[in-house]
Amino acid sequence: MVDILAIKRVLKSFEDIALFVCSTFNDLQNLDLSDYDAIISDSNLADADYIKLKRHMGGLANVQFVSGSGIAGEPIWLKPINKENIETLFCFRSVMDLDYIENLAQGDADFEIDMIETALRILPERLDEMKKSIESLKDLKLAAHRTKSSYRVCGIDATALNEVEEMSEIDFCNKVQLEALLKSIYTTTTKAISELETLLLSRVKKKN
Amino acid sequence: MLASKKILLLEDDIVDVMTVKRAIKQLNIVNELVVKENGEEGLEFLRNTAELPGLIFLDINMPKMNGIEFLQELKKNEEWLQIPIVVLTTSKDQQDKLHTFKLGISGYMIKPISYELFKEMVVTIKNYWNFSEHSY
Repeated sequence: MVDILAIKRVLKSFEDIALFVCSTFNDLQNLDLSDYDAIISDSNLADADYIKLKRHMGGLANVQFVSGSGIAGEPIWLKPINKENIETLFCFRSVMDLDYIENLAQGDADFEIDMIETALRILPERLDEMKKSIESLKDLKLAAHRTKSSYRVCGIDATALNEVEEMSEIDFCNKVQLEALLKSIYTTTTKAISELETLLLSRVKKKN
Repeated sequence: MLASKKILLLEDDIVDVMTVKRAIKQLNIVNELVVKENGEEGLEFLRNTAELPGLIFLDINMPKMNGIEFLQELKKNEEWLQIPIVVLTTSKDQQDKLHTFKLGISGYMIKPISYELFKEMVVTIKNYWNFSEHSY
């Protein structure tokens, strides 16, 4: 009960999240888990231990186990859960930092809008380029490099792009690692595009 | 720097072009900015222009002819050698830096551009220009 109250308290900061509480594994089995955007589960319920719970939910995206003491080698959050944990779980955290654009704009709304529109036009093209270049390391290196300028001005962490660029120079690079990096870049870029769309609307609205 | 002198920017990335344009505007630089997307287009401009640009901002990683190849071509023409060139690049590689300085550049800036550094660089080149105006 204490844990539920603690989570409810943290969720008060998020208007759009509705909480449903399930207390037993028996009840959990009757739920269609795909109905939920995120699942936070104690690593031990009265009628199920971590192994049993993980077997039931471990393959699902956005499942996070929590524990008072942690389990060695397992990606478990330690209680109490905080606001940052929830932001991470729901990917509310922005992938962008607009300090650079704002610094450039110095309050010039037209320039900000122009820059956001340009980034919005370029990023999907770059994403497409990278997807098409997957079979050619040379093309992939170029596509990753070309994506960096948009990342830079939007304040998006370009570590994965740098790594792709470096890996693309190795003829026998680790394909699994490369694919994982690309997947992360696709996710970040898609999220950035979505954030930029929202941002553009708000900037235009603000200007008018 | 003489206001009539153009500034040539060799850059293939639209976002970086916008950034440099903005920086120039913020620094109240009134010189016309000519943008070309690669070294080939840059050389073409230099061959055909009535008056050489007063300054070149040069990206290294460009299609067709990159910044290094452009600098190598520039070295072959004595008149072009007098134009101050500032490299704007993402490369932090010391070898790249050394290589471009050996090819005669006047400055090397790593993107994203720091405006303070950009300003100092332009002012320094402007002072150099005023000093050597008669011989230019």
